[in-house]
Amino acid sequence: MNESARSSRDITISGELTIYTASEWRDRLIGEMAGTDDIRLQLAEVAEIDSAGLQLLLAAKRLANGEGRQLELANPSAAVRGLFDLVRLNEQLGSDALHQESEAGQ
Amino acid sequence: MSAEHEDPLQTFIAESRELLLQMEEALLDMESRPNDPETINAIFRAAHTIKGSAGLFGLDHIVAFTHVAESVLDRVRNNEIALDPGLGALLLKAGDHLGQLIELLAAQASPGAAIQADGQALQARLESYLDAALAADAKQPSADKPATTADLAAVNNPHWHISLRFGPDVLRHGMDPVSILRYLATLGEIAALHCVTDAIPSLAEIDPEACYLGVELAFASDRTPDEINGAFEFIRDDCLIHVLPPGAPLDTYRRMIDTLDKDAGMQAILLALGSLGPEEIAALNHPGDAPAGAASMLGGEVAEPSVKENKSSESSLIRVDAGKLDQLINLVGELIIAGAGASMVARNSKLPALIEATTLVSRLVEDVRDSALTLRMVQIGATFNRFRRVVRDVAKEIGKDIALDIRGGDTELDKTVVEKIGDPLTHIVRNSMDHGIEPAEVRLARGKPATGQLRLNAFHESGSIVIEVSDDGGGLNKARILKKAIERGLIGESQALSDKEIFNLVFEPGFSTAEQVSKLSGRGVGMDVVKRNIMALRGTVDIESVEGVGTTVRIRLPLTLAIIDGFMVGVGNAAYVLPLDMVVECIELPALPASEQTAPDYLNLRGSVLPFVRLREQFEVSAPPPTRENVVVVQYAGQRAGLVVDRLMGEFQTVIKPLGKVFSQIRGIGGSTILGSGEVALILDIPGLVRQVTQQSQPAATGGTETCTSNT
Amino acid sequence: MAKTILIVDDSASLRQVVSIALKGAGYDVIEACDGVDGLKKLDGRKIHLIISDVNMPNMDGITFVKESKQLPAYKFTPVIMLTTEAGDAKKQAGQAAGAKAWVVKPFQPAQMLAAVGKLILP
Repeated sequence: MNESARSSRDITISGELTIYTASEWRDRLIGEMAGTDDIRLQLAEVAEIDSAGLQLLLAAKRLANGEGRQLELANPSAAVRGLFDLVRLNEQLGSDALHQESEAGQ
Repeated sequence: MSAEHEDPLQTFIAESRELLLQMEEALLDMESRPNDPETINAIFRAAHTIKGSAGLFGLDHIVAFTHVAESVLDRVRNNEIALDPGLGALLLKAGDHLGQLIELLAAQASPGAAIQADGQALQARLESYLDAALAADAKQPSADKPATTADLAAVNNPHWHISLRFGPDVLRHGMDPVSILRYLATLGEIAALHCVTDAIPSLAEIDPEACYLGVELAFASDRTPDEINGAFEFIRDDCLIHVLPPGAPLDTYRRMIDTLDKDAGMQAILLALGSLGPEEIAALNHPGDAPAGAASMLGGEVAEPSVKENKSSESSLIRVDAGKLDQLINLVGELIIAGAGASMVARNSKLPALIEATTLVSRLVEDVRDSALTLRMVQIGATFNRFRRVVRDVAKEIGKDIALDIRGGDTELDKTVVEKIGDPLTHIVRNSMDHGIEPAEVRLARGKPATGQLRLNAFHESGSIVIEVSDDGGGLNKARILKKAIERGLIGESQALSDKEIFNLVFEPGFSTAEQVSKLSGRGVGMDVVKRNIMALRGTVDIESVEGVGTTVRIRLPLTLAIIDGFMVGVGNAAYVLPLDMVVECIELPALPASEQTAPDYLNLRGSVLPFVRLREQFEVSAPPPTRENVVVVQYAGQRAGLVVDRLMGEFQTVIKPLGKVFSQIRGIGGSTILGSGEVALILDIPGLVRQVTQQSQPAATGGTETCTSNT
Repeated sequence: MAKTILIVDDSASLRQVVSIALKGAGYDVIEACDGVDGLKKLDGRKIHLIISDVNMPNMDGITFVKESKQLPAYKFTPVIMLTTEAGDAKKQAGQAAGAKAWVVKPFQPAQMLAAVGKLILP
């Protein structure tokens, strides 16, 4: 799925991705995303997500895209998938908005 | 505990009664402290809470009535209306009316025509305090301004179109757009949705707690506009919201797009969602075509989802059924008897370990008993406070100016006693106001302040609670009482009586001192009934009075009706129990010279005279006295007396079993109890014995005048 | 896991009825009898929504909400204020304190469920 020539880095988001933790995650993501790699946000361990969390993921995508990098949202947990389904972001961001690396999540 | 099983409606009834009492109290407070904000707030809160809870039970008549009262009170709170005596009186009446409604509810009856008419009259009077502006505040926020004049064709869209741009602060306020969408999904089906994410900045610039989201959605629902708009009621102030009903005029879409002009691609989004067709998009750009279609909006009611039963309470107070408490106290009583039995067996067995164990058990049982009894203890303040209303109303009715002074409201006593003391107390208070306190002219002429003083006081004294009703009125006229008593044949003409005895004549059946029986005190219930009621509670009542200065009626009641700490004594083979807290000391009966062994019996107790009674003689015990007898010195109501007994048998916890009617005439016996051994012991009626002994002994001449504790 | 709601009101019967309704709908409910008690219940446990009366003894609802917003664990917790028609000024004070949702007293249990549903579903 990644362009073969480029390196990609995995960042795992776990636990709560909500307004209570959004500032914390923003700072961590900015720190960990620094560099030139493509990013794969591993979302399998996100237990809880709300609008603030959703915005943060999209803002991260915007940051990466603005720098010509790819950002992939991978292995969404049930919570993440439920939210994306509700706001129909799968369709909107294209079919690859949420990557499933394995079948396990289905 | 029991709160879990309780019917919420019962909680509501109990709570409302309490609140109405508080409201009344606060209203009466207002008369002495007008404009105290906390007091006004307390009144408001009572009405507010009753209304709020009544609504939950669908008690619309209570809601409607309370609403008016609450509105008036709110105005008072905001200093828009002055709480003058007129309004105070009206609010008191309103409280009474509410009380009636609550009692009817408790009796599962509905208000009759008379009560309804009363309610309407009161409501009308309350409403007169509200100016026209009231009309404005009565309505719920209504639906969003409906899309205006339909001078353009209705669109084909069978769905609602909803457009939301969330304000930056919604997340911080706990309003999550996701939650709102989820709620919306419960009202219908989200047919299509486009999430507007254009405003989300890059991660480097984002304020993670601000909201940047927007949503356009097509919504299939047969709900009313009010219901659908209702989904957004909490975010309305912060957000840009458009709710276009199915078949809304095209113009409303046009205006919506205009307000969202920052959002490029709105037309494309509307097309993609199916909210507008290609022709309609084209028509958007070329206004002024087809004639009007109908934009229909339906009204209707929200269907109420059913509610399952499931309850709990985590608050610090729980309401307990009084019956359960009684049961507990009864069980504790049985436990005490059983414990005493076990102790006795242990003592007889002379096994130190067993004695030690039973001693520990006894101590714990004692603690359990004390805790159980405190569960039933309530402060007398609530009962006293009820009299503020009585005094105020009666004073107005009889045209006297009377101030009520309440003291010792935090004195606790058994709930059953509190419940039963209200009526006798009312009678005594009314009697004082009616016959005791003089009219203002008379008072002024006597050099007293025009305002009469009435005082309710309560305090604990040696295991009893004492309740005093004092007034600074004219006092009792001994001559008149004697005359009347002789007239009625209650006493003989030549009988010499002490002050106390004279005063106590008013408790004789069919006695009325005032020359004119007023409609208040002359209602058929005499002081004799008061005395009977108090005696039924194992209490006593006395009067002290000084003519021209005032009168004090003093009621003494046991703290509890169920259990006493007893002191056991023996005479012959019989055991008797005295309430321990009336025992002062025990001494040995000094051997008296035969010449002095004549009745009445006196003893020199460290220089003071102590009258005594021999229980052997009192109860006609035939067994011969032992060589050495003992005297138990007891005290009641300030009077000391000695009881001569054979043996002192020590402290003993006792559950009082009332004596049957047959024994009620026996002097000196107050009840019975069962000993651990299963034997019956009689409980001595110390007040009765002390009275008997001191009356025999006191010279019949007038005693020292005891002044009345009023005038403060 | 069910969402937890804290209800703060001095009326035991109101708490009881609301609590029954909310539990029936699948929420967990914690009760407090006034603002002081309410703050005691904000002891770090997860609470998804607070319902608070305005007029209460000891600590009124406005103060309670303001205080709750100072607690990091609860500063974004939505609050429903129980207001009266006559209390528009109170509603504004509540909003200023951070309570953006309200239910007008008197209300039916269904109305409360609807209001709660707009903020959190069970």
